[in-house]
Amino acid sequence: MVKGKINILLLFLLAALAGSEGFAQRDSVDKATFIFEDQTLPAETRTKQALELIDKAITHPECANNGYSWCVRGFIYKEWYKTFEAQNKKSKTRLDAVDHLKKSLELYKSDTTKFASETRNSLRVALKWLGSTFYNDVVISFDTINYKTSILNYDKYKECMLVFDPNYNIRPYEINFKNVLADQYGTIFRNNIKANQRFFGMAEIMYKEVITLDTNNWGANYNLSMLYYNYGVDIINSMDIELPIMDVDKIQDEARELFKKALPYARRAETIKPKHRDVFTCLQGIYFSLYESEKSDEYKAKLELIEEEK
Amino acid sequence: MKKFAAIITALFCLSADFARIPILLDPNASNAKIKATFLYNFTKYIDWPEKYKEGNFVIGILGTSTFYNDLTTLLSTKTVGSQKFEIKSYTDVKSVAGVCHILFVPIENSAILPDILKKMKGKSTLIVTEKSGLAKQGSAINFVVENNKQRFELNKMNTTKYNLKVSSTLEALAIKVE
Repeated sequence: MVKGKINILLLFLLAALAGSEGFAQRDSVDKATFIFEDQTLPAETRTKQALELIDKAITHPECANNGYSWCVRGFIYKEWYKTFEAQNKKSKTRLDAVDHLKKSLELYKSDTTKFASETRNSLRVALKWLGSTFYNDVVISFDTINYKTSILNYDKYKECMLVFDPNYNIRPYEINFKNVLADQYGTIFRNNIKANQRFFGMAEIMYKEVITLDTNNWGANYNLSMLYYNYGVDIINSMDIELPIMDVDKIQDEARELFKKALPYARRAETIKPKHRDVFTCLQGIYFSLYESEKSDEYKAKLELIEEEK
Repeated sequence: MKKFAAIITALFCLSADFARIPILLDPNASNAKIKATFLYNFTKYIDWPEKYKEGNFVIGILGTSTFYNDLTTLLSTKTVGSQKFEIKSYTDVKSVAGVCHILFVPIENSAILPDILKKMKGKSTLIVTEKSGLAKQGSAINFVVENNKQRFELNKMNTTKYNLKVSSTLEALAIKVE
């Protein structure tokens, strides 16, 4: 009987302790917020202390499913990124900030209070800002060495902007991104055709994706035709002059298929920009390579006319 | 925030109108490469008389043609047996002198084929042209275009006439003209 009373008492004690732990965690979130917003402290001190407090607090079950806690955490991470890692294109803190802000949005999803509505707006604006930083890094680091980072940052940019506004018009950015990515793949391929063979196909797919999004995209049509054409010429130019005569035909077949693939895209590029010098040069080259001398001469004449008009 | 958005917009606008222009490779060089590869292969499948197997292996080009430079570059390290290649450029038919194993007549000089045939009579020179119908008019090999590809016609009578022996392999690959 006595033993039973002690057990009940112990249970109450444990429950009280658990409750006080919960309050302590909520306090930590408030404290983190307070320190984070204390402008009298140096940025490094307040952000670091706030980050430590919120990281500790979020492990507690009460905070783990609390929209406000994640919101605070997201904003602290965002601030940390902005203050200390703005130059880091692979910042883990920025990625975490996006996840925390999104988690908060998710937890506030069905909350109909005015506070929740205002918080959701702030969260979306913060995500938009982070999205802009991702896009900025996409543009800055887009080259043949860092293109993988650009791909990851672009995906994050899209993710953020579509959370900010599900109807956000991503299409023009998508077209630009794919076009530039295709260029990078094409350049990698051209830098070492034998070793980087797979990049030819990757560039081809990317240009075609742009054309699917925007049939009349001049850059994608022109560059895709050039990708095919240049590769065809390369195949012939890299042919060993000692190649057995019976194999010369195979090389010609391979190159001819590429020249034929190049033609419709160059023609479309001409339709989009009817008097573009580069398109005329391209078409002259394609027809010349296909031994269609009349058409090749026709474009040669067009080119000369452009030169005269200059 | 506004400043940042402005940067983004500027970058976007910049890239929207930006289309990289890749290097356009010279189609003349690739077409020349195919012809040069064919010419080089002809030396493997055609047998010249013994007295032609001494000294350099001469390929003459009639008239001024960029093909001269292409051929010189491509064949500079190659040989026919122990014979080194020598590429010569002849300004006209009269200037063709000495041993010439292969005489290439560019399309723009096709009209003077009868003069060339007169000049080369009795010599073992493989006359190569590149205009439709010339294999019937006296050249031994004539480059033609078929299905958007470079091919060649062979007039065996015109090779026999110049004491040149053509292998069956080359015959099989050629478009035969009589």
